[in-house]
Amino acid sequence: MTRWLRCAALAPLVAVLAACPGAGSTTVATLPSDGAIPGDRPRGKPAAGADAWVGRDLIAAPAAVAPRPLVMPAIRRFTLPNGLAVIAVAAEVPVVTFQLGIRAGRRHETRDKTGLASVTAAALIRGSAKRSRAQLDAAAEAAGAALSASASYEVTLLGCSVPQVDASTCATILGEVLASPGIDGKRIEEARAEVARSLRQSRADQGQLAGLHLQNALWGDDHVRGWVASEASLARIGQRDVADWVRGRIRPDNATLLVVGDLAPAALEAQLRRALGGWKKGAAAPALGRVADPTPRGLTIRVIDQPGAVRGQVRIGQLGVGHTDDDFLVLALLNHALGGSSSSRFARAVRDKLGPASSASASLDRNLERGAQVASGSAPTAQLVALMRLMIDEIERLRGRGLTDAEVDRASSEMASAHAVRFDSPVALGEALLAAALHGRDEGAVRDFAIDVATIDAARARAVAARRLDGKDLAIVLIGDGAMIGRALDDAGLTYERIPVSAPIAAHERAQAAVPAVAATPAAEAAARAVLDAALKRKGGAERLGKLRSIRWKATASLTMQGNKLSGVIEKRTVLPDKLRLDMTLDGGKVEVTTVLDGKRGWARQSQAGGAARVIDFPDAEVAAGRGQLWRDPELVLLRHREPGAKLAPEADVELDGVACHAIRVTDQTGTRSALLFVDKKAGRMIGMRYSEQGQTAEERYAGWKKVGGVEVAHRRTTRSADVDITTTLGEVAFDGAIDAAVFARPATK
Amino acid sequence: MLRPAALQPRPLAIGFAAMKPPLMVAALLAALGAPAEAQPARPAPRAALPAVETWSLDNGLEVAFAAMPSSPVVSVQLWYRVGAVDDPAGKRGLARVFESLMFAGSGRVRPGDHRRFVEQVGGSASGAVSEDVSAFADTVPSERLDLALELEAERMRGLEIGEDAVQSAIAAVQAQQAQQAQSALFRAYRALTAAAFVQHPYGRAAAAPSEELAAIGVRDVRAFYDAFYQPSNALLVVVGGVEREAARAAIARRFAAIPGPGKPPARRAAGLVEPPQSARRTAELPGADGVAMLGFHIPAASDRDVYAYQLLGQILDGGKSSRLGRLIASERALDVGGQVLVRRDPGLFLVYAGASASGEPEALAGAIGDELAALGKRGPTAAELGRAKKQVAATVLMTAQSASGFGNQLGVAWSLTGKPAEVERDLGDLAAVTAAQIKRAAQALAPDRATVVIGRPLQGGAR
Repeated sequence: MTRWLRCAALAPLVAVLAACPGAGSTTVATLPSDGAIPGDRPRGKPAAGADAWVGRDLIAAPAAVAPRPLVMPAIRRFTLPNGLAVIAVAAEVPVVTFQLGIRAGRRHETRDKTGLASVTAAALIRGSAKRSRAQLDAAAEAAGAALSASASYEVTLLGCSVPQVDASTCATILGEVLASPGIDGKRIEEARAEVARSLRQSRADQGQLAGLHLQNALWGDDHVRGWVASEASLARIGQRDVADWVRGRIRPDNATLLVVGDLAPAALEAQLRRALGGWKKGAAAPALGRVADPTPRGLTIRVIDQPGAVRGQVRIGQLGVGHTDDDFLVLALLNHALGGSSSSRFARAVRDKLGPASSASASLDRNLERGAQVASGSAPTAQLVALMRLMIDEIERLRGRGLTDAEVDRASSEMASAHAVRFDSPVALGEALLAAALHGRDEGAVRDFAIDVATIDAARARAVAARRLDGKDLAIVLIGDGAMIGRALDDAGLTYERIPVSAPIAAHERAQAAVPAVAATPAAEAAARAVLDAALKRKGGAERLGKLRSIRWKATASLTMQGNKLSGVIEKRTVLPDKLRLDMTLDGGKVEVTTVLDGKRGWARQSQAGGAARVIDFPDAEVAAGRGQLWRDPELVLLRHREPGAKLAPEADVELDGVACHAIRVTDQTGTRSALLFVDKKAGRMIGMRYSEQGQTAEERYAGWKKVGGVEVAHRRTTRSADVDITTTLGEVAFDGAIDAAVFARPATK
Repeated sequence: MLRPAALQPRPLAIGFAAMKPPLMVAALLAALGAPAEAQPARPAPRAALPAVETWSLDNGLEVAFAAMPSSPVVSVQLWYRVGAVDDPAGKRGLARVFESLMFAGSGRVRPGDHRRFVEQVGGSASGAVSEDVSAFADTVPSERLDLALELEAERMRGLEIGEDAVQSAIAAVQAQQAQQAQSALFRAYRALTAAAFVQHPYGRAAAAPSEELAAIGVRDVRAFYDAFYQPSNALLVVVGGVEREAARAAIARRFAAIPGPGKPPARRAAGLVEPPQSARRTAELPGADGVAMLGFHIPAASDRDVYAYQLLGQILDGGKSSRLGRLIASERALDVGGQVLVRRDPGLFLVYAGASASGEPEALAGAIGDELAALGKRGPTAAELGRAKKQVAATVLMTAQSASGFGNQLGVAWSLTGKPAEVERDLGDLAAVTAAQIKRAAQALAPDRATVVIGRPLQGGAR
């Protein structure tokens, strides 16, 4: 993305310049007695002499005001002949905003293709059958229009805002991408890469990662709410999946269009008929079978181990209720009183018992289907378990005793006021109307919110708290330094599951990574074997590869880790069957790292300019990882399915960079080493591989093929994992050259 | 919520003053989209945005008011003419301490109660300090205008400045800076401003060294507060769903009695002239591999040429179809971006790019220079200029739909030009910019006037 002064541009610089909404110094640090969420900022001691304010003529806390309905603008609703419902909100503003909400979200996905809604949304605005992405972008930008697309649990949202004079531009573009989407493999690949980037960013953020784990921990692997998109699930999404999704779900009679602006009703309707009339109704996608909501499992704790993390996050989840449930509004109020403001129970308890370095809040999913209630906390890792216990205690207290009259009044007043303040712009009000419409509600739900929430009294709150809150049947996720958290949980006598931070989120994916499931019918296995045999032949043949004694290559490499980029040179020397040496020289020789596997031993040497070299011996786990690397060597891995006891399992075909591929899992006889090999269906060549190493999934891609000594070698290689992206360009490649055995010997230096 | 975009030297103090029929807006926007060479300079058109009224109280407090009758909220913002450039020698960071200190309690408000009270009525409170200006804002339901005014009036002169609160606020600044320093782009920006400004304090205002922050004491904070947090040095912005007379009365009730010296204090940077840059300045930045950042001096906000620079920036990288977008299309850059930092004093035209694995930062810097040279030689196409004008206009108009967004625009205009109502003419002046002016602006950004930062691998090694 290129942007000039656009606020979503490179976040780091934006933050630096504090030049965009939400960036830089917007967050005002809260002070010791301030109950707002303090974030990660260190605080000083609590203000001395807080009592110094006693007896002063203080400004009084604001009194509640009588609830009243919102004053609504003129709203017109109509339906186009193709079934598209339209909400037109009159606003005297010089900009027109279109938001199209389509009932097609994550809840409609299947587990093996989680992420399909997001990939389709991103692909939709990347062009049409009539215009390329560049042409569409140019047309939009020439009018000053801004296009957006996203997918949530329930809906896909397409947005477009434009100065009023060019309102037809937005309508035309939306109509075009919907009526003639023309999504091809290239667009899908681009969209998939964008979604994958977003996933990696989410996983790199402690809070977001905790949230993803909580959904999986609370709902489980079989419930749609527990599914988490991964690189693997994205890779399984192909052109046919997107086409089916568009045909069955991106339908006008399955959507509502919001238009906010100063447009004459008749003219708007005529414009929309012209622009969106070509978007035809289609047959609805079949309903999906869903598993029931999870049953009580007691207290389950998942610890996400992030070694060395000084701060951590806690998430405590339990089931909520659907938006149309009679208890929904009361439960929302209970959650607000629990952790929705600086006056909430969480805020007060955290302030009093843990101090300003910790914070906690509470929220409730607002979906048609039952969602989750989530209590979220942030604290130094050393305080994390104490914070968790405090939060559980508060939930239990609320469940047992409910709220006081004063608390109900305050929460009700705060919610009603905040509801009004949300509508700082007419677009915000329109968005609320759209959300209500997608849930089958009219504007009364928005207009009368303050009145509705004011009807809640303490007795009703108490009854709903007793019915809908639970202090014992909770899913809990703690993320931070696992050792420190583990000790605190052990001391408390609590059992827990500890998971490396880079491990897959879904339990079934972790299990698959640990012990790959391999099961295939004989016929399927035979077909998969034929594919790999053909790929092996193309690679150079079993005879040639099977007789290799050594492999040596040098390459230039670029590594990206947590946004930092390093470049350097890599040399890899392999002497079969069990010796491997990898030398990495980074930053112009300032950093040198050598990793060696020498039979049953392994060692590493690291040196930095100006510092002494350090040699360490590998523990058994690292040695095993080194052997795994040797087993998966791209020049050799196509031999593995022919080894005694090896197993084959074909998986669903995938598309890699627009190339249709067979996906075949190969597992060694011990069941401990496994790789999913991707073979280009057309070229018959292995162009990628996915595997798990020490709990972390990595994916490799190969390109730039050249023959060297009768072997077809990929000279361009990329490896992606949650922690690092590496791009390698091979220069020298040699097979069966002499490699001095001394290079594998451990140096004496400590 | 107050947005920091308003606090930074930003593109333009754009907005409109008069409530006009939609037809006028259409005419304006049609003009913005006309072919580049076909646009004569002409009086500023106005559009259907809230009318702005300004007045002053006897104590010197300036007020800008705009009614948005259909809005259920009101945004109350206090803008002070003080920023990081006003930090005393050896005490850099002092201005930024107030970002959190202003929530630390005052004579009639307990620590934290300001935010708590605003939250209790469903609103939000925030604050931010930039090089030139400091601003604090409360967005509340319209009927809570008086609460927001009372809270802001209270902390204008009633702040309680104690040792613990000061230390806590200093710690907050340190933590914020530590977070920013993790970004290679931030470090590049800091290096660039340090090299670009040899005389003006802009060169040293991007961040405060820890030792200078640590040297700040309660006495320094009190002196700074007394000097700059005065009604005569501030603008009160009230925008939203409130009636004019009611707002005037409430403002007078809460602010008129605040004593003040009557005239704004002198500022450290006043009269300082940044000497023209006559030679290319370069700096290498270890640990920012692949980053290329270029900066050029541009005129101060009071100079009407800034409109041409703003549009030049938009032409360079205003969306996916822009000129610098090609660097990404060619896979030489992972990302490109920039900012036209219009400031009270000389600003900065900033462009940056992040090299891809196959790109080199020097080559990217060269490519950016080539695009500027091409624009300096041939000027923009009519389509480019039309697109840039529409994009800037759209952004401004969208922002101004909300009370807080329009309030920001008024505050920014005041901080840059001294006149909040300056927003009335910005879009008009922007619409009148010609291709020839863009061409001249590009010519002024010549390679020998550039400050360039090239990111290097750690410890200065080759890439």
